[in-house]
Amino acid sequence: MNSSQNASGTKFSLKSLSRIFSGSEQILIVCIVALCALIAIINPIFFSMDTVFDMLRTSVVVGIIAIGVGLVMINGGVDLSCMSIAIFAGYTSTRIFVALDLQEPMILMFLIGIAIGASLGFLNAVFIAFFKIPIFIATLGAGVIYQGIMLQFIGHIYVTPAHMPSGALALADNTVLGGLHVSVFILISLLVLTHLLLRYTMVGRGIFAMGGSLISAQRAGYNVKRLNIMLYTFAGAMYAIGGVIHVSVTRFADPSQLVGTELVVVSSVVLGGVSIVGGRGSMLGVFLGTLLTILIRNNLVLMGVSSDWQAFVFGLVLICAISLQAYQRNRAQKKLA
Amino acid sequence: MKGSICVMSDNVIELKDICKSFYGVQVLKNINMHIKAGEALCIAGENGSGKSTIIKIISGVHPYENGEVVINGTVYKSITPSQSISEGIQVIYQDFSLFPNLSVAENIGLSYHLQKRKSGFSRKICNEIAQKSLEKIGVEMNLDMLVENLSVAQKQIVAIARAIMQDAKLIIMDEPTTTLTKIEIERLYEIINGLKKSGVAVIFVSHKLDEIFAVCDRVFVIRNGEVVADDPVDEFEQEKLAYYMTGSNIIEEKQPPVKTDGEYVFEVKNLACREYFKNISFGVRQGEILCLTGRLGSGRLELAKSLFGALPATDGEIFLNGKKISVRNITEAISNGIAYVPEDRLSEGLFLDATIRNNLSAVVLNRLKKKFGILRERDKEKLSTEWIEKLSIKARSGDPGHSLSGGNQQRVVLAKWMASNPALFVFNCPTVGVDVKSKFEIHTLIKNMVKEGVAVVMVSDDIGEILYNSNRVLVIDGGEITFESDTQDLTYESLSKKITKGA
Repeated sequence: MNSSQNASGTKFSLKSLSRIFSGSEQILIVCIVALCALIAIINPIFFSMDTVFDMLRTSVVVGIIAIGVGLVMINGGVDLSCMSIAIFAGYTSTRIFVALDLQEPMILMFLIGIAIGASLGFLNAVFIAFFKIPIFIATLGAGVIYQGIMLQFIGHIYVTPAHMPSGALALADNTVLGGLHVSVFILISLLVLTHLLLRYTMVGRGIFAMGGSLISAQRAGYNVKRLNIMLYTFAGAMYAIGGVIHVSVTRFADPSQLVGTELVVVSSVVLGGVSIVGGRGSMLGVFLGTLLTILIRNNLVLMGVSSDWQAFVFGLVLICAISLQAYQRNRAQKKLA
Repeated sequence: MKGSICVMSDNVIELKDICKSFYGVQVLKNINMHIKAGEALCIAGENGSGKSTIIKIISGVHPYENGEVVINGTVYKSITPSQSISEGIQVIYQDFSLFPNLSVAENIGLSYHLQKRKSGFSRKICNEIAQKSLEKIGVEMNLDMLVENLSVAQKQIVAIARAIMQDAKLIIMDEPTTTLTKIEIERLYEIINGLKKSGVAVIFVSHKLDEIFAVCDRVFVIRNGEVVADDPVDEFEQEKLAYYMTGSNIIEEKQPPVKTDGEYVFEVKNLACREYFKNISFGVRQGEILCLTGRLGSGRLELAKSLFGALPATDGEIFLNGKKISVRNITEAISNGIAYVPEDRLSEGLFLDATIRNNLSAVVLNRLKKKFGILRERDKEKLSTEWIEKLSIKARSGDPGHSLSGGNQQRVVLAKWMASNPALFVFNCPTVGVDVKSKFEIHTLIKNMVKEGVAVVMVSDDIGEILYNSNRVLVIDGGEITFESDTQDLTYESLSKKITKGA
């Protein structure tokens, strides 16, 4: 028995080595580089620092919201209320600033937004953890409810650039290093923060553990309800930050924006290698998935691909990504048997 | 609630007059039980006898109404799961309750972090804890492996390592050998003996008689919530244990060989399938039970699946009543009159959420359907009442499959196939995970079936089952038939030798 144990041990270490090289992050980097190269060959204009900066700027909102959705998916759920919460927080915090005739400070607008987003996320957790509504339905319904509440009680008038708080407009124009938007740094610090939380805290490991096996997490002694509340509240805060940045950089607060594009975020997360059944995923993956999504949705036009075809290509890539996930899982299962 | 009285004794745990009832039905009556450090106690009993309730009381999952639990000298009038864990009691569940997506080290170390109520998570501590724990049971393992990539036996080792990580005083194993191979079971015995030597008490839940005798010091038998025996294992005899568990003497007789002049109902010639098996030729006569046996991976399971088209044979011929038939898929097998009862009766053979009525009609839909493919509830009802009566299934035709006990579920699966009047029945380990009494009932069912003229091919690893419930046995090794004999000419030892010959 001992010898067979050792034999399997060496086999396993080889396998874990190959796992690093066949990981979804590596595949993603290859995809992104290949796609960029292809676009650059067809249209050399693409090949510039401006394009890189522009791509990063465009991925900020989707990327930050994808952090929250990614966490929920690692935990084994999916959050379809993300965009409703984002725009609720972004629009409402703007309206509060306008109503109080505040221009600055931007940090206060973020804090108001985060408070709103976190509360709505908390409500999601209550639906899921206490009323035991299936997550998909709970967040789908919650999203519609939040949207309805906002339109009814906050209103639906646009806040035009002329009325936007000057702090928000300043954020929209704030670039460094000759064109890199500062919000990119917000995205990156949130990614790093979340990565550290996932890796070095018991709450973070709990999110993975629950995604792997809910019953085992309970039996091991995790307070699953408390974990859910922390997770969805944190995710809500992420959506809110995304929402506030969105209204700021577009210089325009329209309560009907963002809603309807939930699946763009979900697909970025899936492209990023987060397992649709939970238990697997990384923040690096979420970031790369977002970049690839933005690249396909916004930049294929530079290759002369019409916008109708972009949707087609995007769908195709998504299906390929999920098939690859399933294929890898099946192969691992077969190796076992 | 923690009692203040401390009673000195060398018992790790003691149950005194424990009573428990669910919805007014008393499931445990005045249970008295004790276990010393370094002792292995086997709890034996049929399904529903109350043994899992005892475990859940000890682990704090179920509250008890009367009596007290004394752990390490502390008297508890009631106990919570976390109190139980902090007293050093660990349960290894049948499904192991591991995290498939986390590494070996994390699986073992996560519980440590949780017990210490840490908020930060350290990989380094995980590795240390895991390494120490695995050393304790003398196993080497790659700590970075994901648990989902481990074999069942390795998963069990991780579960055991996790259980002993903290100073466990009592480890409860719920039917730990169900999914293990013979060698892995031997390894588990070694681990249990090692635990005993280091002073850990072990409660072993099992209804496999040979295991009880191999590893346990004392046997504790319960029947209908009452203790019927609590004796050292050497004062026990196998027959006596079966008697205690069921309350009746079960005596099985060997099956005489079927007269040899009968034509083969079912015959295969030179059957082969990829790397699994080759050159397989045998026949089954009317009224005969033919057993296929062999070690794990010998090809016997694959062969059985081929007979039913679930794993189509790549070469060779199959004959039914002298006529050559093709069995390339399950549909062809069914239409030729071949029926298959899978090993895992729960997941493979029964639609758990569907009613008994719908389960029973599933195979004979074609026969039941009227013009334009319309099914009448009336016809289904008639069919199901008929079979419920014939096989004395304890359920109504409208009950959902999951509401039935294991034995009754097996009967429904049987009835479902019998309704289609098959010529050949293929059974895949029909009594795995079934208690002594239901096992006997299933055997009786199968023997009654062959009396009505069907032929049966049964895959089994249970030597007792083979000897007393089949007429003839084929031993498969390395994908080929290595031995054939009438069971009447065999003894337990001689057959066991033939099976393990290659090992």
